[in-house]
Amino acid sequence: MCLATPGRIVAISRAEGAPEAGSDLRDHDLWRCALVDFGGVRQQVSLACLPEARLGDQVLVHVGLALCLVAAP
Amino acid sequence: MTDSAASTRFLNGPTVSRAAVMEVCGGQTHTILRWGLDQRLPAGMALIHGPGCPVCVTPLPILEAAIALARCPEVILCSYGDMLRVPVPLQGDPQERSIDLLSLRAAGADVRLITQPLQALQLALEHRQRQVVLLAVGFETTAPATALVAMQRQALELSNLHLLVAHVRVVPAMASLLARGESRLDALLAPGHVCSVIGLTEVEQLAQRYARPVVVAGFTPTSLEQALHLSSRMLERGDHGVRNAYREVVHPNGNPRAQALLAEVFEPIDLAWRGLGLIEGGGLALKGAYAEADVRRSLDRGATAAAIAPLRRLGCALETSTEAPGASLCRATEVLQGRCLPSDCPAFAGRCRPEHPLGAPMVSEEGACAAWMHYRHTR
Repeated sequence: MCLATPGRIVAISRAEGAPEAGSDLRDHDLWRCALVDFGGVRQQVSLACLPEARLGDQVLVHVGLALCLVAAP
Repeated sequence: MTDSAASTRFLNGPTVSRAAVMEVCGGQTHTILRWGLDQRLPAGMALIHGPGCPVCVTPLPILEAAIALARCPEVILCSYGDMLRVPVPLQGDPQERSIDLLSLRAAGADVRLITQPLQALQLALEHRQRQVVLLAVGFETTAPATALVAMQRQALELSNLHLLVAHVRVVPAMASLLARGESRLDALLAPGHVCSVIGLTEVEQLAQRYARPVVVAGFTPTSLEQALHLSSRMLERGDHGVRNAYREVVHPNGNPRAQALLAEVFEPIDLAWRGLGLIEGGGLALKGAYAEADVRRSLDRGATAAAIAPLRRLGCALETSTEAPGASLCRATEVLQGRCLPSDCPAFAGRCRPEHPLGAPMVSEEGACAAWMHYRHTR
């Protein structure tokens, strides 16, 4: 259940179906998401918990939510 | 011990005498058994499999409510794959038969297998006339994703999305196991991904309070080997406290944003874990405005009102006495508490197999019984 998969962010966008962006920055984070590449398989992932994530970052993803940046070994 | 025998162990000549180390997380149990790490331990050290399998510890009333809800024609019930296969005993059935959500689906119920909770939100958007119920399980690793769903639901005013929450907290469970002292635990391996969310503070308090070594471990064989190495060193020296063997992922502060999401949406509650009994602060419940999404409130009307009745038994300490089907045989409770090995159970690999499990630890990919079946059962 707690297994998570590392992948690389290839695009950042606002979630589909999200309401119009307001001025509230916290709200902006709620809908921020990314296309993440898992060794060739790409999936849409929420960045709600990783406001600092940027393009090219390696992130650890669990049930569609990026949980942390993975430090380079 | 001869040199050749010593070299098969990854730690030569430790002086720990009879140390029991529990790996709390079911994912780690699988790695340990798959790579045979338990066969390469320092002399005297033994591993005990912990209860870190959310599917295994989800209270029966939650599963009964899920089954009853899935029978309602207006309901779309969604959850993760393993949850759909857990056998739920049919009340009062003399032959101790059981049912699971997947077989209900085969009989026509609208049960959906999801891999992320945001899919439930999509389903609710696509089926405005139906009632979508998300059976949300998991530790603090998974709970932030459910919290996100609850917040997005509120922002979108999606009143046809309902949450049946069975989230559990791992540190209270570790504390409960240490406090009971039934199986003497000398050290613990803490689940790395939970710690990537909650950080090390809570684990540090636990280690201090019970004066035990706790090592935060990852999920690869090398990471686990390193964690076991560290814990044997700490045992050898008589140290206690927390060491982090998963630094590439676990920051001491965890993920503050995920913690904020959890604090916004959930509050800790006492919860009777299946197999373990009542654990103080062992569960999470929706709070404040988000409680409106709780099935207990949002579906307490019409045809679904009766379906949620089993949830009234939650939080009742005696709950665990009603156990799995074939309870007379199945020893899931003791397996979950680390008091016996799966192979000690009379039903193991006979009446109870992954194709027709009696207890949840045989169902889940993370259950200790399933791990033993995969990697230790040779017949």
